[in-house]
Amino acid sequence: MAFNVTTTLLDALVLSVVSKEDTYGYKITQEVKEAIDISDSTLYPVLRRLQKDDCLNIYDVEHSGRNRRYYKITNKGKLQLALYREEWEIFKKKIDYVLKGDDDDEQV
Amino acid sequence: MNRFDEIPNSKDEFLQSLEMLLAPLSETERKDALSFYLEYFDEAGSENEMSVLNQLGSPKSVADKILSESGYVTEVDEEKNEGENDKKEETIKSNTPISNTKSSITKNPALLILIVIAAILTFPIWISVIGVIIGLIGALIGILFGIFGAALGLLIGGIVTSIVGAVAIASSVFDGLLALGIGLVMFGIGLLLIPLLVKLCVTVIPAVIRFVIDIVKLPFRRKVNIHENVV
Repeated sequence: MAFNVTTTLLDALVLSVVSKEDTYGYKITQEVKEAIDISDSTLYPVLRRLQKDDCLNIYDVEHSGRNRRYYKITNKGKLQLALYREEWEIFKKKIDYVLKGDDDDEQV
Repeated sequence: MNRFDEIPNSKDEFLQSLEMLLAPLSETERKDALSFYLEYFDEAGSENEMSVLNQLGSPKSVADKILSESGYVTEVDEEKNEGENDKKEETIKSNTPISNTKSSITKNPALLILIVIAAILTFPIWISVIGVIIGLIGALIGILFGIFGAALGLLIGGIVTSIVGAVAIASSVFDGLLALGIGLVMFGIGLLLIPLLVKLCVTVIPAVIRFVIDIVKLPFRRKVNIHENVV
């Protein structure tokens, strides 16, 4: 991918994935990787940070004889995600405006 | 470069390396990270172990991401400035002698002149000191040669006297035996002197040489240092 992904964007994507349903690390990584090309090692620090910032909660579930750590979005996380979605819309329009050709001017 | 920079061959190897690299973290944080990656491998399935290992990259890079997130300065941050850092190191290395040189250059001309003047003024004193030292060394060498000569003389004399005595036994038993006895005593004393001589040579001569070298170096040492600093 040609564009750099900021930590803010990563946070937003993770929060969005977890907001759909409680899920675990491996699955979150795979879903985020659908959108952006990141290393498998990128997600743990992000999850850890969101957890520290009280945007995510964790709980452990027994799954086929071993532990699976589920992530659940908190109210603070939901608020943060809503903020990110708003910001993204604005960001996207601005980028589109500059980046796209003349024919898209009427969209703004 | 070390093994932490390479992609490990197995999940266990990866986790072991990661555990070591995360040593700066608290116990709970380290365990949290390790269980996350253990779970990650389990979820991916053992058939995907190799591809996960390749995806994750080196334990060092994984650990650095975790550590920098926890506020530790890691090589991930440093890598960006790697080139700069190298230069910095170089300048630090070359700076040290430069600053030294500057300080000694300012002191040196006066110091050098002082030393030369002192050396000329004290000429009668140190020339006599050197004379005494050379005399003492000569005496030592003389003593060594003396002992050597005595030993050699006693050994040869002893052998000759013994042979003469042994031959003389045929004509005069008492005279012959007396000469033989004296000869053997001489030879014995000569033999006793050999270890003494060897010990003196082994200990005294190197000590004297070292002493002389130290003395000769003493006035030159400062001059040599001054020279180095200027260059």
